[in-house]
Amino acid sequence: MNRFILEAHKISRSFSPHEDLLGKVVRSILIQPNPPSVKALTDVTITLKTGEVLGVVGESGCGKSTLGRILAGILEPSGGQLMFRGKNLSDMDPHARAETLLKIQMIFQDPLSSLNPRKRVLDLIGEAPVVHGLIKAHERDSFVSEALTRVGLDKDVKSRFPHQFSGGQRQRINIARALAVNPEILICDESVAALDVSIQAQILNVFMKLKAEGSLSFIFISHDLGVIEHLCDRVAILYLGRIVEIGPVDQIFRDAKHPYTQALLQEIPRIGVGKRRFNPIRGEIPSPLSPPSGCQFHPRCPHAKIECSSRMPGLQQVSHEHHAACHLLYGNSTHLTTELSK
Amino acid sequence: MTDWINYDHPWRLAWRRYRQSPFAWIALIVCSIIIFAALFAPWLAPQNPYDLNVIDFFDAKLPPGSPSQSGFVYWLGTDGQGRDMLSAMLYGLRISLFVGVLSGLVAILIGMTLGMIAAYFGGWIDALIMRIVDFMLGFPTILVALMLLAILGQGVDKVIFALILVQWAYFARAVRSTALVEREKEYVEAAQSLGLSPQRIMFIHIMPNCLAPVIVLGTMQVASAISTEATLSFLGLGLPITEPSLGLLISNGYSNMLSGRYWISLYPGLLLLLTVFSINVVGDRLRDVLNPRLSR
Amino acid sequence: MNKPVLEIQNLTTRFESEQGIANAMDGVSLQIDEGEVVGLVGESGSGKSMTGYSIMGLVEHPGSIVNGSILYRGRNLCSLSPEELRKLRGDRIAMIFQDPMMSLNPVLRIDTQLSETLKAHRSIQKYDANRRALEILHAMGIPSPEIRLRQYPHELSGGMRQRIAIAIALLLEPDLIIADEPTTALDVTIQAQIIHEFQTLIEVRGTSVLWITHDLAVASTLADRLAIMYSGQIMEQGPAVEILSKPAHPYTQGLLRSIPSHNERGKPLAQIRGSAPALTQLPPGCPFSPRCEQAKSLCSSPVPTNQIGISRSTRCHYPTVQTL
Repeated sequence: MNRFILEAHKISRSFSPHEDLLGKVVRSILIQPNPPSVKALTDVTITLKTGEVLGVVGESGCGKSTLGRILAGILEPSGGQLMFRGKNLSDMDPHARAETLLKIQMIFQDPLSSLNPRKRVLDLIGEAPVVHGLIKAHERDSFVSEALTRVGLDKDVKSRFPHQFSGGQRQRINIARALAVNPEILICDESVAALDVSIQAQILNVFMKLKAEGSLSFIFISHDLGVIEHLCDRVAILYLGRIVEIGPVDQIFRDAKHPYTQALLQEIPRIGVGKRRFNPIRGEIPSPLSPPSGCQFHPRCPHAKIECSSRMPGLQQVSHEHHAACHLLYGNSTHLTTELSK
Repeated sequence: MTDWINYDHPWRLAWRRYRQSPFAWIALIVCSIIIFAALFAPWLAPQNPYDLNVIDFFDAKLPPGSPSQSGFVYWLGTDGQGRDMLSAMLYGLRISLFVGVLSGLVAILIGMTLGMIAAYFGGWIDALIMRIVDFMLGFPTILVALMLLAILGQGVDKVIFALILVQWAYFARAVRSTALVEREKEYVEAAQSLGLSPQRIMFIHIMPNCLAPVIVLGTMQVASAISTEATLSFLGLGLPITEPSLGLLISNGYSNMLSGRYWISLYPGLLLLLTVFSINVVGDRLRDVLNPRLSR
Repeated sequence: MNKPVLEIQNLTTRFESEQGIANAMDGVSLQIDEGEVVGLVGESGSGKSMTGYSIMGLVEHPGSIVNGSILYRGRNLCSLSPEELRKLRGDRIAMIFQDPMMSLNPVLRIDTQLSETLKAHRSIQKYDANRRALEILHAMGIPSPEIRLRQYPHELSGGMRQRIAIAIALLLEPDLIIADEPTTALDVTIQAQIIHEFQTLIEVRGTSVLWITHDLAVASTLADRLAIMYSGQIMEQGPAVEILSKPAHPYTQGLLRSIPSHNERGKPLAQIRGSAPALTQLPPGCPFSPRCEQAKSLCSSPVPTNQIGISRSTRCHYPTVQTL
């Protein structure tokens, strides 16, 4: 029995601007170079253990949404492989592939636009299971009632439309819809970001209940480190399309090794510390169209050395399961801990 | 933010908003009367204008209000063959509406399908379909219809075919632009993630959200088809004389205008005008009501 | 004791629509002293943004201020003519929005926008205006300000645009800045930078700030005093440190308890049941009562604001100070 339910090896994804036929012709006549493509993800390797919650953290341009969509099968990677229970997805025949992708479902960020405004809840939740033959058409009613109860909604709302619900309720409908096809993996892409704090707590509790039931593994994409710390077992931090640090949540939150992670942790506003002064890292997130040379974080890093601008650091093992991509980790690690945590 | 927002079905909301304009209300009633009259023409008309036994040639060109031999009154007079104008108009309206609505519906079906396919798949499929659409829209409608009918000859079916051919491109373009917007929305990604087939996503999920511009355009196009058909018939290239539409009636009576027998052309003309006008008002109002920015 | 810069007294802003009457603000009283930062915290629909708009006189039909007063250094803003209000706006009271493009004109260069603001309220020469613009960009810590001045908004990143919007607000050295969720749409690292720069500037100039946000954590890092809003009413206000460590209103307590970092890792979060009612369908009495664990029968009658300490007040029939 494979320990890893999902494995992504060296996933890369580039986007090039959309060009129509006329544009291509004009460009070839004028002998202009190919338009620049954006590397949203580069060599991302991630594993998801059965039953765990893996967090993916990053700011804009880090590629976390792209990664989520690739893992869910909505987007094709430009390079790399995806494996479900040890079987490579690209080696599967279309039927098996479609079946496998059905086991990986996604919950999106905007609760409203992820629901078809013209469909009733009964159709929204009940359509896919019927189409895929998981239930019979006449069982749809009772099936949807059960699904609604499982996420904490009243089963009488079946005949209502999305615009008749609040944000939190819509997100519950989204979750019920994803669960209706019996997935094994749920990918939550900023699923609580658009919700009020008090509603966030409710939806997070729904996720925690599902995790406790034991049949699901989660990938939780968020920019909110407080939520990640509470919910996740392991976390991966992305910067400009690469993983800069990955490891167990308690280790990383206690003792982050990569300067970017340290800055993120330091810069989250926290209650209880009182009025305080920030000491933020300088600079802006670079444009993915022109990433810095060497380590992509070096222009903003307070500890950058000469080699940081010329060589890309690989993921170094810090401890069992904890890796970070930083040149400063080569060599004596205890010395570096004190230096990095200044 | 709110527990229960008590709005009902999106269509019912739109209907409530539609009712708020008295002018549009009247236009809708007029349209309904016209449609009713056209549907029930055989029962409403005092006389069957195609039945040669009933028509009395000696009653030709009588002014409105004259009595007939068989007892009823020629409310709107008679035409050159002795046909009761009112009856001829009702039957003519029937043909006009039939041609306009049928061609409109088929054009909508074709246009919606092609527009949706172009939007969903993009790439060369989109480019191909849209170039054909651009090509079709580059020609004036009447010109294309005239050329087609000159080649195909006369007949109801040929007129309908010509009208479909000149109309489908408008719908393709309208649906494509709405579908392009909808395609980027997350509910489409969710449907893909749930493993639903492209056909299902296109026509069961995205299509209902693209109906608003189609409805608006559809009403306008029906009006346009009716008047195009009238033009063609007026020019003698449309429907044959055995199935006179309003356009043909106007055409037939035209020569009588100078001799003072205005009613043979005027009343069919007025009816045509009223039909096209009220349909356009309804379509106009629908455009305001179904505008997504004004709703919610 | 500092003089108050702004005093909102019993303000009610009402919206009338076919769904009913909604009091976006209902009997709101709030005071901001000189040099003070007040954090106005609330979730969506609480009326916090409407507070900012009401102060600036930006409430439009179908909404209007129906009761109460807003005193700016003793002058009632509600009774000023539009011309007098326009003179104050931007000059003495400035506003920053969540979307910087609400403050920036996309077709004008940055230096034009800055100098326009200056020239609208001061008689100043072009050369001086440009110099002031350069100074303020330097003070905001914006790198290569000379280049930025000649750029258009679309050439700048989101964080940079917000900095320019803040610069425009600070340009005329107003007494009060109303900041409506200015960092909500920004990344964590950029948010930290902007808050840092903002803090430096207001401390140097002694500007008062009303920082409107849904994020208690952000408010806590900046604010001297906090006001917690729910369904158009201020449920609790007082010194930030006290409210965060010893909240008195059940809503504040519920909010603080539901934040993940206040809960044991891996355990279900304490949550407030239900969701906020529509403003047109508020329950009688306390708007929070349907969701409140401690609600009793008295809670369905209107709740006055009670003083529960020095400069601390709460709008609850049964406030209990809980130490969190």
